[in-house]
Amino acid sequence: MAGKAFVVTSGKGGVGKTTVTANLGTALALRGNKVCVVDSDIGLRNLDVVMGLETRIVYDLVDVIEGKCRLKQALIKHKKAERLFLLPASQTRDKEAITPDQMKDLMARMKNEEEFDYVLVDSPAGIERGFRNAIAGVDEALIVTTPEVSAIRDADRIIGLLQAAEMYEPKLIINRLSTDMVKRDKTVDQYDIIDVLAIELLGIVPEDGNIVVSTNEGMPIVLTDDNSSGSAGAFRRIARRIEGENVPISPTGDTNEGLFVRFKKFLGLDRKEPERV
Amino acid sequence: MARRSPAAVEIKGFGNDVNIILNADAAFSAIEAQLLKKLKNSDKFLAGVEVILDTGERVLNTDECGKLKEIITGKFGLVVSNVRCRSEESRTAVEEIGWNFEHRDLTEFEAKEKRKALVRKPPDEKENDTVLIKRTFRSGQKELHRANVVIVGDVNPGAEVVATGDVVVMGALRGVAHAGADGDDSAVIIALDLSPIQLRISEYIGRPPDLKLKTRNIPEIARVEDGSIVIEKLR
Repeated sequence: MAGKAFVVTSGKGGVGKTTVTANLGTALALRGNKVCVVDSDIGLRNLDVVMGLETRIVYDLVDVIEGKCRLKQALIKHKKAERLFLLPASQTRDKEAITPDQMKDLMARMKNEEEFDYVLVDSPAGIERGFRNAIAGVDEALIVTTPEVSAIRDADRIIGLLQAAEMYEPKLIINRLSTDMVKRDKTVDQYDIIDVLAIELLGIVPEDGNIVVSTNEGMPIVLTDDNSSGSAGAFRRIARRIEGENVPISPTGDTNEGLFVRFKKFLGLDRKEPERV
Repeated sequence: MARRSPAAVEIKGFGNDVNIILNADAAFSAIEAQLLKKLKNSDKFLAGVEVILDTGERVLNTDECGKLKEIITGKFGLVVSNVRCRSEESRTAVEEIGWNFEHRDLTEFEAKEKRKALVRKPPDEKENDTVLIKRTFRSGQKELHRANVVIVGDVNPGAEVVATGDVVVMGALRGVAHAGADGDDSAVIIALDLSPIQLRISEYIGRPPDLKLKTRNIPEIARVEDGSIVIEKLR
């Protein structure tokens, strides 16, 4: 099977791109895939910290692209997950150090030379050069948003930009949804988000206080938490969906109950029947 | 806007537009000479570009207009999309030459918005045409049409649709729509779900009340009535 490269992007910062990248990458690797997570946030890297690999960095993405090292030398193998690798970003350079074309070549090399099953590129926030680099050469895009109007707005902008770059079917991950808040009608719910963004929903990750702990310890939560509820379970289910398994998405995003909710809207016409007057 | 430059001709870029600004007091011969000189220095990047001729307070006659056209279009191949004048007296001369006359004392920002609405039209679009767009407008996307616009899809927050005619959204209008952008007060905006951030019709701007009492998914129509935008159920 040919490998597949994904970009994890959002537009807005702080919605959990890095957490999603780290956990989906780890979950996919735990299922036996050869996976590489790539930090494309040159100058503001932190995927290495979240993965707990910051002390092992010798070479980085820019070194590979500039030919200062071989690709293999820059890949850092994870200590706990057998087939999981990190390609860190350079911290001392900036986004201009590489070009989208170079990223395209790199993605091809990752899939062909290193034979990765999955490459997940963690995109920087914003829509500038860093974003352009991150989406170059990937096969699919995963949009991360939180139930906040500002995050949804930015996600919408990103979807538009992806379409302009001829990536027409990005998939949506709603992060940090608080079911309690939804029940009390205090937040934008998942239906509102899907209604506006109108792209396929890949999964809902519930708000989970343990994420902070796992981030600070540098240990993705899917490695430490075996529960099927909570964020770890959600990440594992999303990983299975990425592999093509048909795993139901419960409307609340927590357990296995519920119907398979797959919203895909064509032309806005399948919305609730407009009133005829 | 302060424009106290002694130069007879100024060439300035506002956003994507290039403006050729004529000094109101300079002799026409000076304008001719300087225009020729300035364009010659920059012909490499100006050729084929759409420009706006801003004559300010200056009154142009047919003869002068012809001379300017000969230089701007004839010699350098620029396309004059609009002539912006503060004086009505130039209108006949400008229109005789075949240029678009735009008369209004606008602030720079308004003028820019206005130009956007007027200038960026697809080449074969005619007034009174209706354009059918089958897609959703996402945040940051903007389209301008010199026609009526029917959108089969949504207009999301942060997106903008500008039309010289009516705007009909067969979906949810959550962003900004501007109908009758040329100054047509009779233009209307219709949407199956009208929950916009802002509506504009001609010169009028309306925004929803800060308190959200909206019943959703009822087709509604917005029009200008007695100098303000009113929204009612579509029937």
